Amino acid sequence: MAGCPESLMLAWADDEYVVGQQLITLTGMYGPDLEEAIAIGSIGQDHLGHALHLYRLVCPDELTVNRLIYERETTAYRSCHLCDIWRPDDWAFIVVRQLLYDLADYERACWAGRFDDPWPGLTGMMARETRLHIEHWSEWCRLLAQDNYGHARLVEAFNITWPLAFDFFVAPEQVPDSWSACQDAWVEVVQAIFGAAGVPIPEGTPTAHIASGRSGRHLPELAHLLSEAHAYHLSRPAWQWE
Amino acid sequence: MEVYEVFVQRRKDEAAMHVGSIRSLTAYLALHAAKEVFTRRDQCYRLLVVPRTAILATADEDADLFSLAYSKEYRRPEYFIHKRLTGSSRMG
Repeated sequence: MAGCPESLMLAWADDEYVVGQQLITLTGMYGPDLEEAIAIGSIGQDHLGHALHLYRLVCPDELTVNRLIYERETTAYRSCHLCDIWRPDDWAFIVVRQLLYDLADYERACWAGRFDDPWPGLTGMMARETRLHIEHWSEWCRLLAQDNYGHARLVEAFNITWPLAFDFFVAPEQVPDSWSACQDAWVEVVQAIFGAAGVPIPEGTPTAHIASGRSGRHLPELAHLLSEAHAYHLSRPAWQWE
Repeated sequence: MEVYEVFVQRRKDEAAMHVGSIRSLTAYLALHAAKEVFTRRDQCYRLLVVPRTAILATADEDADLFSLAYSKEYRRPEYFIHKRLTGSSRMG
C-alpha cells in the first residue's frame, strides 16, 4: 500500500487542530462541573497532539510546520464544517459535536491504518485515544438524554450538527474509493448511539456541499477562532523559542 | 453527584496510591475524569476509582487508638531478640 495522500493528511491535521483549539479555549472555564472543565483541556490537548503528528508528516521541518499552522489564510484550511462550527456556551452542543466528530475520526483512523509505515502505529495510537474520547462523550450523551430538558437540548444540537457532519466525508483529491465506506460505517454507529438516546435521525443523507470546507469554504466561526489563536504569533513572527 | 477516591498504580509491580478525589455523576465518568485530571503528566499503569461511600474509615476522634500502639513494645520483633541477648526478663 502506498503512503497516505497529502490532501487527506492536511485535511485531517486541520480537523484535529481546529477541534483542539476550540476545546482548550474552555479549559478551566466552562463545563457542567470542575472535573469536566479540566478534562476538556486534556481532551483538546490530545487533538492538538494528533494534529502535530500529522502536520509533521506533511512538512519537512519544524519551521514549515509553524508557518503552515500560523500563517495560512482561513481559506487555505481544509477542515470540514463539522469542525468549523462552534458554540462554546452550549454543553449539549459540545457533547453532540464531539461525539459525531470523534466517531467519524475513529473510522478515518481505522481506514488509514492500511497505508505504509508509520501509519499503522500512528493510527493505532490515534484510534485508541479517540476511542476513549468516544466513551467519554457517549456517556455524557446517555446522561443528558435521561431527562426531558437534556433530551430536548440534545435533539436541538443534533439537528444543527448532523447536516454539517457529512462535510467530513467529502473526499479530498487523490483519496482512494474505499474512503466512501467510512461514511456508511459512521452512519450506522451514529444511529446506534443516538437512537439509544432517543434522538430522531433524519432519513437519507444531506446532499453534498458544493461549498465544502475541504475546498476552503468555511463557516464564519473558523475565521474568528484562527484570528484569536494566531494573534500572538502574528504580532511577533520572527520570535523563536530559546 | 457522588465523590470518588482516585488511586493511581504507577507501575505494574507497585501498590496503588491515593492521589485525590473526583466528583462525578457516574462511576464511568469518574474514571474518565480521573484519567484527565490525575494522569496528565506522570506515568500510570492502572487507574482506580472507588465511591467514597464504599470505603469504611475510622472517625477522627479515634485517632488516639493508633497512638497507643507505641506502648505495646512486646509487639515489636526486636523486643524479644533483646531479651534473649541480655537474659533479663522485662516481665518480671
